[in-house]
Amino acid sequence: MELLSGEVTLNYLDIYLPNILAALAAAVALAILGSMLAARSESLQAFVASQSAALGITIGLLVLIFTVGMEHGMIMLPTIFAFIFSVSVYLVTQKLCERHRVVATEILVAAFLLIIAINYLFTAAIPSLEQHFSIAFMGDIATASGASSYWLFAVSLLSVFFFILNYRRLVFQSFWIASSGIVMFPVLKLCFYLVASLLIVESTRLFGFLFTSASLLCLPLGASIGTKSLKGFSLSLPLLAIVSTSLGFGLSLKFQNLSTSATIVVMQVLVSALFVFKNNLRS
Amino acid sequence: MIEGQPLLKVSDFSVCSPVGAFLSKLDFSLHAGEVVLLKGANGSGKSTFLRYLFQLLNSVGGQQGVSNIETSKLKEFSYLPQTLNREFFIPMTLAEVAELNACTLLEEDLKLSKLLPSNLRSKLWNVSSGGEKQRSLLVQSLLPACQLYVLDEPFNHLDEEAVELLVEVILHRVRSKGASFLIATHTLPKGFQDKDVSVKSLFMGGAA
Repeated sequence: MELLSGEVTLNYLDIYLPNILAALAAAVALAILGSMLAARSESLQAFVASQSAALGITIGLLVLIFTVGMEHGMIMLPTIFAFIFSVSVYLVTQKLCERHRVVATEILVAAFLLIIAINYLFTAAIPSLEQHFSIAFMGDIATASGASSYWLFAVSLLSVFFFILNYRRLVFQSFWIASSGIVMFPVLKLCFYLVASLLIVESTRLFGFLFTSASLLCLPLGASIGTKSLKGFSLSLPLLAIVSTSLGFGLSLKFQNLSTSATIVVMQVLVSALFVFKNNLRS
Repeated sequence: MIEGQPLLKVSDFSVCSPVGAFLSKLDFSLHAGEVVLLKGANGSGKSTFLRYLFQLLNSVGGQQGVSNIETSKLKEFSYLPQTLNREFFIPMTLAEVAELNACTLLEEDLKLSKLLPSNLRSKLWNVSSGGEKQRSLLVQSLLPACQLYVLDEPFNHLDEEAVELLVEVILHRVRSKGASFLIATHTLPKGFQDKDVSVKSLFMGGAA
């Protein structure tokens, strides 16, 4: 029985290895990105950008259906649309928020709702898009193809390298944006937003809005409340991402009825809450 | 009188608010080893000018300056803007904030170390007072060795002892390293009248 169980585990690992690697790397990269965005008071912008990416994917698929057909294999088209949409919506909402600071939150919530409504309008009108909409929104990490998972793994790894290499300067930059609106290192800021857009778009396209948004917000939140220094924060962030995502993935494999992304998100919240509780108890 | 090409030369420059309203006119030059104090009432455009200058120096190719601001001799500068005294999402101690700009505060730098004494260093930024935060930010901007330090209201929130310390640090930097300072301030603290250091006061929005 043990041998059988071992074989089953081994098979699971064989089958899901690319998905597990991609989920772990994406969770770490999104957590670091989320912490920088939250430090710049741009968490809501990240949600809107992520939702815009989902709309871009829907429109990209729509264009595919009405032009060359889904089987044609122009897989980059939804990505291109998602990238254009998320960057454009980010720039427009950012401009509006700068002009009307007092109602910035309301502007972003309105944009978020409008994008969901447009997305739903398209998918309700064209039934063949409904399944894609469901994947783009809720995502299913375990059923993503090996090629997609390896691609997201590569994008996430690249993002993590970029964040690690520039970590101190990015924190410095975020600090001054939050403290006085001053932008130190403008070229680094441009690179940061390019990496951020690519990561958010690809994670939303392949693993869904739910996993992407939760990794951007929940993990940094846990690390922020649960630690008392930059060093502690920086070390606990990837640790929280790896532990909670591994637990979520493991549970969804053990209990087949559980959706992978939803289980990972629940574990991210639970592990973060436990981390905060444990650290507050100690202090 | 300090001679030679200035680090910064501002000729007949109109300071305007972000919406384009005229605030004041500036005309001055700043040489190596010199301190220029920008004084003026609230709204005279001191911070607006320093912010503009920072954006100019910070932009790609900005070291060449614009037609009425010449900065070609300037290679390294440090800027301390006024802060909004906000809390920060990432938890940081005052020492971590001070050392964010890729420098480490060494005990050998006695004057700067006194500005952020060891009992303050492990205190969290989010629970520190305005004066404690200002001390940490001053150390952050004064840690790197630069030709020019641009400080916007550096004496804000500081107690008397810290003001004296800061003046000492500034004069020491000027005397020993030949650094220059451009400081926006409402008040002229005691101790700035040093015969070894050239200190110029400019009144924005009024006669010099």
